[in-house]
Amino acid sequence: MGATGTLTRIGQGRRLPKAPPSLVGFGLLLPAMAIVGVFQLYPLIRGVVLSLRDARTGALTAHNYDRMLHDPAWQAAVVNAGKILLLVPLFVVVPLLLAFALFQAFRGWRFFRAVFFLSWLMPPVIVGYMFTPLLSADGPLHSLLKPIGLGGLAHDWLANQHTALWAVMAVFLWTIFGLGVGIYLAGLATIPAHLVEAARLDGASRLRILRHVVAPLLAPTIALWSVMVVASLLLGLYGFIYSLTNGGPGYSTMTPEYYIVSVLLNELNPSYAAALGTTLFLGVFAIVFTQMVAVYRRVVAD
Amino acid sequence: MAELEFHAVSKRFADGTDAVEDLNLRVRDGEFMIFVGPSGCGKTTALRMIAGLESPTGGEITIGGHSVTTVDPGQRDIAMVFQDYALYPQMRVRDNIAFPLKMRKADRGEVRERVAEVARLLGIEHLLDRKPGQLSGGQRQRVAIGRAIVRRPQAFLLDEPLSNLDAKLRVMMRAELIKLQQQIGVTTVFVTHDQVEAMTLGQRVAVMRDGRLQQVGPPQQLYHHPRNTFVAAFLGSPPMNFTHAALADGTLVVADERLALPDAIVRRLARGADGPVILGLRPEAFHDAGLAGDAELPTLAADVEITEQLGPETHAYVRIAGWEASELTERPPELAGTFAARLDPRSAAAPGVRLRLAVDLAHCHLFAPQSGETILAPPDGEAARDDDLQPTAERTSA
Amino acid sequence: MSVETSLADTRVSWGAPAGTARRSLGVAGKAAGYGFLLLVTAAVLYPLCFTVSTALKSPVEYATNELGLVHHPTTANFSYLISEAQVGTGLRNSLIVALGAIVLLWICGSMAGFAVAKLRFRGRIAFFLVVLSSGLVPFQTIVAPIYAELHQFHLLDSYVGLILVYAALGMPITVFIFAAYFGGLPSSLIEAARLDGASTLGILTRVIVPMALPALAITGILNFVMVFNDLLTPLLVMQSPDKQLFVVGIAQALGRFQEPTQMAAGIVIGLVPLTVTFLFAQRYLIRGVTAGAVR
Repeated sequence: MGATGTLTRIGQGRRLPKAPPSLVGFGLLLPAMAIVGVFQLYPLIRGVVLSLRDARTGALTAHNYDRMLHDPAWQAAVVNAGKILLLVPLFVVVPLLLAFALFQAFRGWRFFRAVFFLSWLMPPVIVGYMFTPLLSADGPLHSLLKPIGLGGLAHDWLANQHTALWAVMAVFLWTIFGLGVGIYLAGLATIPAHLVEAARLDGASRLRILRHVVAPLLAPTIALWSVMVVASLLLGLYGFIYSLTNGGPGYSTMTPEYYIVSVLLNELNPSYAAALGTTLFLGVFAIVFTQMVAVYRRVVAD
Repeated sequence: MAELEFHAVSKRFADGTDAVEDLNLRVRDGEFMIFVGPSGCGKTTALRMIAGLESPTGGEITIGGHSVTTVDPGQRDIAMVFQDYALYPQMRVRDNIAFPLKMRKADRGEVRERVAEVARLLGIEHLLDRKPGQLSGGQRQRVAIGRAIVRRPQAFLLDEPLSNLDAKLRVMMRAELIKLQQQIGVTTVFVTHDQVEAMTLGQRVAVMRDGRLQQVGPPQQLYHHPRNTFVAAFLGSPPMNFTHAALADGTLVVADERLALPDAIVRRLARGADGPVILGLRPEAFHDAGLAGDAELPTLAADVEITEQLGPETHAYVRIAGWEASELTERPPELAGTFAARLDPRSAAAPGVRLRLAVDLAHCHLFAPQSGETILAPPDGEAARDDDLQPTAERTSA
Repeated sequence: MSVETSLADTRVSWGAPAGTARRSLGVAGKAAGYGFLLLVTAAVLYPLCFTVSTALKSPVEYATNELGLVHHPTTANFSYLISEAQVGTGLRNSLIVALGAIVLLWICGSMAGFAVAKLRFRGRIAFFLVVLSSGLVPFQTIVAPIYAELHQFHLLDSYVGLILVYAALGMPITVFIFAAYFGGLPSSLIEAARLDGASTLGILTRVIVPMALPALAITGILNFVMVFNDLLTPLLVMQSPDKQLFVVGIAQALGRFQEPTQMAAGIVIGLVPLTVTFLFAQRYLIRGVTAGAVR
């Protein structure tokens, strides 16, 4: 029996010539490429061009960048960005510790996991409004802490220019730590059990196991989360600042991303905003790029 | 007619490796052909080229006389069983088997009929409503086979299908595959690295190495008349013994001893074939001279290193005075330099024992030292058929 | 890891594989760990509880009883908010935009992810990198040009315009996740389908997509949260109040109010939709995150 009966003979059936794989590949890419091209890349280029034009005359000029370099508000914003980035280790480590704790899989761990995840789902701007009364001097926090003697801790966090930025950071940490825990837990689940068991048989203590066996294997996850943290810190604080401080007091909570929008909305100066925006983009790109190169080297070196 | 033909087919990958070089081979209609060889020899690549999953960089492939080199895999009327079975995990077994028929827009009644027929044939009717994840390895393999034969293809390709099964199941499936192929009669190409499978399953076996076809023919022919040392060493377990020798006037000289060659061998020698040779002797060429046997055979002193008592026979690994095992002899490092012998189970061979071994040269093999090619012409009555398309003599083994 | 094993793992547990990390801790160690977790939980829940309780108090009650439990709960604040902040229309609009963006992202992202992961053609790595790096473009950088563009195409103040912008914003991470996921699927499945005679589109729809459910889950959720919680984009693109999205409506209302109880009600309403969805869909959410997040 070699006949196929009612079904195909060789080569028949589809009359269309088979498309070369490259064509199929590009065809599949095209929609995504088009959307990204039209609504992200092209505007980026336009923005760069825009930044080089004078707002009124339309002539080519670099004076937007010149203004940027001498703009005290922008300088304050950049300094703030630097301060914010100092906190990256905190954002990386805290969820990690929590993930380790949850990973023990004691009874009820799922409850904690759910609670931690909850805060990430909330819109930043709403979270900001929720914390505003809590962070004020005569707010509920004060009433809570006073009886136990920690009354000194209750200041007007948001009204004090030395503490405002850290208060905003605290709120941000409150919001996203759950996502970090989730990502770490997913990474931990991929660690082969027998490696940990071998270490136990070798007599390693809990801490040793964590440090020498688990942490290195977790490196890609830590790297992924670090990149997400940096990107969020530089680009995702808008809603929080909007509701908590609006950039103030003074410029103490002004960040580059926030300043750009305020320039746009207050000054109606798109070309200056574009110049600031281009600089922000280059800055973010450089930072994330170096991060990823460092990670890549680490991973490849293993 | 579902003949498969390779015409001067070669495949070079993007990184420059020549997976297949100048392959000329015909698989006859209804034949069970085995491609065998060590990993990296090109057998799987050759198989995938028949399927169309790889395109040749040179040459042409025909199926049933039609050139299919540019035809889409789905249009070649070929079915394949993959090494990992490749069953669609979210579909039930029934839908897995029916899938190729649905892709060809077969009518529903026919689909149902054929699926039932195939399930009956393979004994998997009770599994039809399960999902692949719920099946054992052997069951999954049957489903994979079912999916392949349900559309009655012109050719049936199997890529190391037995290597993921445990030993017992493997033996069982071997018999079943043979039976199945005979029942259905479809042209089949089976790829394996296991020479036992090659010997037991195939009507014809094609041995490949480094992308080149070494020899093709019925298993027995390859076993008894290998064309080069590679094929000789590849088939048979324990592997063939090799040693350096010399030919002088139709006599064999090994370690300064002259051994007479049987006439049957001498007749096949090319004229003037004197000089150094490689002598190949299968383990069964040695006998324990202490047991009753042919008293005419030359005997050698042998020191036994290790024995394996298998029941019906004993394998003895021995050192023979004056005889140096060639580096072509495949042995684990501890047994380097030994000769393998298949002895009668009553033999007195044991580690440390010295015994006399009788050597039967009636089935010896002689190869040229440089090329590894045999210097014996094929025996009378076994001239190669033209469609065996034996590869032209080139540099093959070292 | 084959697809089957990874799906089975996530179904069993998210945390420790059985027996991995159960080490005997000292009592002090356990207490400290537990205490830490409880502290964090309290930190998460306290603001929420406080806000809820405030929202249930009338302004009169709040003036006297700021911290304590509610004595005379009232829903007046909520009803006031719902009318003032156009909650109903806001929710509807957010849903429309979010679902529209997700569907668009699923279709385009999975196609692109599949092409990058499984097909070989020149420029595929380049494309992949371009798409990924576009994820780093700050929205603020392109705010003005996008506004101009949308204006040009008459897409301002339209659902379509907003959906397209969100599709662009979510594309990098979506393509990345699909590419990573498809990369892990065995090629033999696709080859088997080709031999069985399926067209490329057929392979996509019948073989790939059914197996891609974890990737669909995680991208769906990530993008849903992104769209729902975003402030800046809808502020910019939508102008008419009846098309404005949920979060913007609440935020603007909160900006106008001074009364703490009303604000609290607004906050609670703002937090409810996603919280409810999460509690509802928890299993799928976590399965999706684990299956796709880290290779």
